[in-house]
Amino acid sequence: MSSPSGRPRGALERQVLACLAAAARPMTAGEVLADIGSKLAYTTVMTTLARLHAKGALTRELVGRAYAYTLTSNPADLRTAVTAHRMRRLLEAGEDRAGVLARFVADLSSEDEQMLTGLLSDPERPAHR
Amino acid sequence: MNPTTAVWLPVAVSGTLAVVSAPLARRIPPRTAVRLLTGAAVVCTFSTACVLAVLGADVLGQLPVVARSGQWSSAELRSTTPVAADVRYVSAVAVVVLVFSTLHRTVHIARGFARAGRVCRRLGPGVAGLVVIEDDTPDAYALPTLGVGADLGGRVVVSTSMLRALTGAERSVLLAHESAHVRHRHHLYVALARVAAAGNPLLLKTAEAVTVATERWADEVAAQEVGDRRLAATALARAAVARASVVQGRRSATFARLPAASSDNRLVLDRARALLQPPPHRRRALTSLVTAVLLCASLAAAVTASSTEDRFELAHSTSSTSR
Repeated sequence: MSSPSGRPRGALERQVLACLAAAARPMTAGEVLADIGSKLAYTTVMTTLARLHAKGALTRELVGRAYAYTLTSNPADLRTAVTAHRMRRLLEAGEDRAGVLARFVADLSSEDEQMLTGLLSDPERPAHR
Repeated sequence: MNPTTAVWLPVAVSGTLAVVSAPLARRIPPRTAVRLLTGAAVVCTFSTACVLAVLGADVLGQLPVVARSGQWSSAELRSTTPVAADVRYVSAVAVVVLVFSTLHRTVHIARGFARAGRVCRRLGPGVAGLVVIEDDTPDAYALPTLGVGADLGGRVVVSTSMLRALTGAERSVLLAHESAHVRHRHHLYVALARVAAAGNPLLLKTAEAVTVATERWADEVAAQEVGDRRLAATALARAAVARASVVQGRRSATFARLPAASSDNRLVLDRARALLQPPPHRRRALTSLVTAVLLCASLAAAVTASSTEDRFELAHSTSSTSR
């Protein structure tokens, strides 16, 4: 289920979309590359942006000699937001006994919050690969 | 096999499985833990149910009404069954209760998945399954679908405030983690374990351990994809703190502050700590041992069930020949 580069299928498209959604301003391929990470090739990012544009997920405008991409805003977004809110209210009301949804982070106690904040400000340690 | 021992064997196995689940899951790769514990839970529940059903059937078979219609000699059955009467009655009741419990949980979970599927369809395909929601509450989760028809994939739903709380690299960790849940169908393992626990309440801890292990599995996949465990830990910490500051703030404004954290809330901290250590080794010996013990126990239970059935046959043939 992986692309030729060894990444899971669609991983790069998701990363690019998330990058643009976070920025909320038009970004060029170079800016996206800088944000996502240096392990990727510029052309890879450019191709992905062009592909997403062809799918209609992104709009673009020429800024100087490069295209700057931004998320397509469409009326479906509002409906999407409403659905997600409804889902969240259901879950917070304890309806998710079925364990349907896998949330990235559960809610924290204040002491755990402190410990995690401490972890974030720790001086750099060697990373494990 | 002594029938009295056989009565307590499923209970002993279930209890042991429940106790070793969490420690075992910490020591072996999460992927292995999920598969092993889910399989173990299902096998354990099924064999427990079989033993109970056969023991309980003794009770039903000995009721004069049933014995007459089934042409069994109830006196013969009673004399050949060395197990105490109260055990037999309790077994019969237990089977009925546990079967209902299992069915109820299955229906509940199926409804949950159906609801999730509807939400996925309403959200649309997103971009490679990713749907971004404009929202002030930092949130990120994976929604499963059961993969019937055209909609084969689940969705990864992330709010804009979560995306903005993280760096680009940390975002990759989050996306990789949630995508892993969808790709590896973690919701199925969790569902199976929960159904098994419904049929055998001793296994609640095992079902919990499976849920925790799926989170650890997704963490390990994400850490490997980005090639940086410390980054994965940082992403987790930052996401948790970002969410907590918004959610907790809201809560204390409206209700009294919640009491001390449940075991649930320690999970984020445990996950972060696990990512700051090397990944667990494959422990083939331990895994094989646990698997072997479980298989033996289940085999023993099956043998008991069949030998009890033989007694039925004997009682049946005895009553037939005596007519």
